[in-house]
Amino acid sequence: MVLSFKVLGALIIVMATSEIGRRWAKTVELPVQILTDMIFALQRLETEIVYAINPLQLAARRVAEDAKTAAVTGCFNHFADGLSQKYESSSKLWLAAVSTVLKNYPLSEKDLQLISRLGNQLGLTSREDQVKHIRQVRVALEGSLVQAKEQCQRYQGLYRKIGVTIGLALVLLTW
Amino acid sequence: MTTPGLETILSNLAPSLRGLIFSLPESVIQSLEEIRVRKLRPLAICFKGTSSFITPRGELCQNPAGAYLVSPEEILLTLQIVSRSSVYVFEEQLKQGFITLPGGHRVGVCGHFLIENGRIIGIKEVSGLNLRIAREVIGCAVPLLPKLLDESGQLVSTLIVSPPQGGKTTLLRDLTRLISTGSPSLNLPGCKVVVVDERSEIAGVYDGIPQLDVGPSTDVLDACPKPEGIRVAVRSLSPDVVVTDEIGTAEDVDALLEAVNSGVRIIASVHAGSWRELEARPSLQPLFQEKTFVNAVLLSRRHGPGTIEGVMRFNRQLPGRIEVANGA
Repeated sequence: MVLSFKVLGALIIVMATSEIGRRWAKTVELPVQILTDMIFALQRLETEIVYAINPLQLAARRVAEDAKTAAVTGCFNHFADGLSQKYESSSKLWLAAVSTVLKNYPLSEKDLQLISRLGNQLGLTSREDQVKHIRQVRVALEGSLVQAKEQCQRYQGLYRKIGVTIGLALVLLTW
Repeated sequence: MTTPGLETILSNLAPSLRGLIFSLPESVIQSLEEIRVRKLRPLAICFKGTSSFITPRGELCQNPAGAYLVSPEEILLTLQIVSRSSVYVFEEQLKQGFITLPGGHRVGVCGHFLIENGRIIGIKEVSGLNLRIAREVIGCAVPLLPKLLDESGQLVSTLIVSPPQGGKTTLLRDLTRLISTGSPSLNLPGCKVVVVDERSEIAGVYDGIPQLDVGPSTDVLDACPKPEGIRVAVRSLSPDVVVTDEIGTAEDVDALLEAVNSGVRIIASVHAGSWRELEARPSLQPLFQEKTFVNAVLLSRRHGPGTIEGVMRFNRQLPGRIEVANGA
């Protein structure tokens, strides 16, 4: 009877620490997901501007609808909401969206700065210039994504293993 | 006189500039014709045919030294509001130097024009905006319409001649409405009208809907170059009447000649301050020689925009000459 309680307790400890390890791993996995989604969103934004020639507010709303992560959806929706209120510059509205929404996610300061750069001149020039501007930000983000993936590969498995290892160590110490 | 959406055009100004305009007396606001916003220069308005500056306290003044200076940020913010932060959407219009607003109002854009192969490809470093308020004067062409009919009561091709801001577009728009609707008192049935609205001024189309009344049987080729538009209209829309604004180039004239020889009547406007100036325009000579137009209406601002100075009939005996048929 006592043994079965001990086994059950050990299982709970290992599961709990494994979960903590999994969550740590998620903190290095999430930036990869957000950056991948943001790059996809910028491609979509480019299409909305160049081919659909939709106003920025509608373009942002459509990008938000197609985004796969809550971070990117929230950011573009926040931006579209700001644009509908009309009396602020698009660069300020994009900065507000980045600082309000994306700051709550585990993105590096460098990534946030890169994404913020999108606001400069957004919507204020010809289609050709908009494409150049969006692509410039996208290329920079792709560089960031490579680094984020390397970080992810390096630490994701490690954090998970650490979680399980700590759990097992605690069980052995308390057995 | 009605001013549809005066609130709309004023809401397109940067909030600080809008506040100054709203500080003006109501009579001035209601008669606004233009709001001129120039970078680091005095805020100016045109109303009742006069120009005036606005002080930082929102009062009218004639001395530019005491006027409110517009900041570059206010210009940029106004451009963003006007374009809904989407300048690229208005790229084609900007190549012609303007953006059309809901209500048919227009914003003229000044800046550094980018040229490629002799053609304007865009504007950068916007330095000034001119918000022109479209005024719809329903019924202003009613007294004129009977004078544009021939002996058998049929509408004939007519040229409206006017200096800038003489009211030619307003008159043209109301003529379009009347021709499209028809006039039972003149026994004139409603006609199929196509408006070739190169600068979106006649119908003020926004999101595909004419913002100004151009009649029930009117199709609008919005933002379409005149020569191409006139040919498209004749080829595919079987119009009775083609209406277009500000003809002037040799291409416009060629397209008009083709249309007239296809049995379509033309109502067009042209810039000139007098008959002498009109006759002196070389590019228009083929129109006079071919007797494309039967009537010409001369407008001025003598008693305000849209003052009809005379309705003339082109002399059929002497090609290229015009003579007074009747005054108005």
